[in-house]
Amino acid sequence: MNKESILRNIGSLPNSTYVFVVITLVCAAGIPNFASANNISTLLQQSCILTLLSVAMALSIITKGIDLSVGGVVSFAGIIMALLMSSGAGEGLAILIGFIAAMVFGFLNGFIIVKLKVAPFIATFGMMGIAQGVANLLSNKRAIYLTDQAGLIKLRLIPFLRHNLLEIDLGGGQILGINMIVVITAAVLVLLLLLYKKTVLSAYMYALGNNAETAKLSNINVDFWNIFVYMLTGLLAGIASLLMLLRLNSAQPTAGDGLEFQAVVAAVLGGNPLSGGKGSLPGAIMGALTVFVVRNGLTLVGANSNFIMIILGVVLVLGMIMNDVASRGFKAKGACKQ
Amino acid sequence: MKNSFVVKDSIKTAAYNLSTLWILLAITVFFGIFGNNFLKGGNISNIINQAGFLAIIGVSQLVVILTGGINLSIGSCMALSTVLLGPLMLAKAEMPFALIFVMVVVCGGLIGIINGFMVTLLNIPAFLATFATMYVARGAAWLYIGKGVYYGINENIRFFATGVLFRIGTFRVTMPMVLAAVFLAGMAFFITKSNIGRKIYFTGSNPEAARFSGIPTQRIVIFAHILSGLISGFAGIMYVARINAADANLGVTYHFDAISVALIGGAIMSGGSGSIWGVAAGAVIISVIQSGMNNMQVPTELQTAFLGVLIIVAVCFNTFLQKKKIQNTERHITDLAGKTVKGGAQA
Repeated sequence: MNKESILRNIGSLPNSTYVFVVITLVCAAGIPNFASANNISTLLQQSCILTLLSVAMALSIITKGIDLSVGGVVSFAGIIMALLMSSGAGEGLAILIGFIAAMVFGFLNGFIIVKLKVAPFIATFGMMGIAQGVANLLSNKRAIYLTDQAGLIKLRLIPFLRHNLLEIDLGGGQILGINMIVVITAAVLVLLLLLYKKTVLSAYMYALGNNAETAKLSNINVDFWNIFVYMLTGLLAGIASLLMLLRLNSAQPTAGDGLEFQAVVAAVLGGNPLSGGKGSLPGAIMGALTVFVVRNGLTLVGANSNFIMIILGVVLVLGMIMNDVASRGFKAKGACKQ
Repeated sequence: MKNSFVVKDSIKTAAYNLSTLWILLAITVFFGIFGNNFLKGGNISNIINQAGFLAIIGVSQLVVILTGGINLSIGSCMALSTVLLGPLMLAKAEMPFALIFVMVVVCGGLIGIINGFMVTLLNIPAFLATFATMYVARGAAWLYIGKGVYYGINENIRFFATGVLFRIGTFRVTMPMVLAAVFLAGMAFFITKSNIGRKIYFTGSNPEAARFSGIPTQRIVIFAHILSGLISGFAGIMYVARINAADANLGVTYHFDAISVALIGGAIMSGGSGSIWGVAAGAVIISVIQSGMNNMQVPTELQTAFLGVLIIVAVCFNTFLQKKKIQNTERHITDLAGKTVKGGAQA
């Protein structure tokens, strides 16, 4: 590989990669406990949920839509799973039904957007309200715990999915742990990226996002693929809700509140412009990691969670500006391939 | 023959135009039959009282929807602007009402300016920009207030949200009703008769055409967001005065209420269509539904879900009506055109 091609490769990385590297270096240098093994383990584990959601968000954004209901679906599917488990249904079955419920929500999103021709943000915004309302109703506004005092419910799968797969003792109380949650996330992401890159999915999605009319004329079943993308988004939200269940050991009706906002921030930061037809999934992953590094760094410094919300809002605006500048820069150089 | 068609068409158009009223009538009859003591004077005055509050946030939403945008930050804007000035609103601060009112409203307007700039200068879609503001403003309100609330609001302020002017039987005419009526009349005049109001409509219905006819569309959009912020501030005072406390948690779900009121009132998401009186009717409808659901003891959690359904249905319904109206007008025009052609041939 000569020097030029290396440079070109670096140049074609998603913007969020640079932001991620810079912010991580700044945090590692400036915050004492940031680069410790313990913190990195928690950071990895905590960022899993957002990573999945931001990839889901990127999928919908690439097709020129948006899915604001992911947060609501995370709460809703989690409640369904926990309720089924605590009522004695098998864990595998409960998880499966939770996933199906999340996909049904995704299907409804897609149906309302495609068939009833409601703008994506308003349709999914309405669905967000529905999901939150149903989650509150089913749970009676209370958290549902997976282990009761009497220990009547014997869970096998959940503890397995939660345990640390690998623990490396680095000495001095520092343990670098790789959790099953991280493994699940990685597996889902790899599968998704394979599905995305190796099948027609990505080509169809870019076509959809760029110009739905042309896509239709090129004999792409636009309606089907659009609904499919929203179902995929729903499924990812369902998996995220399983991870949430694993992490909290309980399902809360407000577990997903505000997650859609963080997912949008992460996806936009990952170079997915809302105009659609452009964007990258790896970028969204890097975006989610960046958001989490920022959150983690601020928490370690002692910032309030509300302050973090404000910073995230600012990050969103900066991300939008960055995307704008980047696309203008490419156009000026004539390097824009899309 | 032709004449009867025209009459039929105009009746149809009128029926479409008054569709909100038909819905209102239908649900009122429904709850009147199935509810318990629903149509009593006391309950009706409660409904209208509540509708007054909803109408104000509905108008706040409408002015932005008219330009083709949306404002998701209304609830947070209400919370932040009242929480920031919460200490001054307390009874012990003894500040004059007018001063506090102006300060809170201006504070809401400042949040509106931020929204407006994000939408126009930074080119961020309105729903995303205001979505960010929704979380940022709420976070700022929490950050400012910590864990407490400002309890015990000045009586002068409270009067505007809880005062009863006089009674007709069990029907109470309250201060919010009067305020809302005056506000709606003023806004209706402003938005339909004033220069800038017409420009808001024009900008929303066709931004390109508006720009080419020399309307500063960007400035109009910023203005609409500022106006929305100002009205949110006003709504914030009303709500704070009613619950007697300024709290960062104020109106967490009001973005849903505001959107559903505006949409049921006939506003169309792409902009340029919708009216103040539609919003008023929408507010009464939502208020009747909420009161009716409470009356029939539907759990409050279901009501958010119901508003979500209502928003989606309203959007579909409005698009359908719009299409019908356009079809009607087109047929009307072809009818008229046919007449003139025929008339010309005869002559």
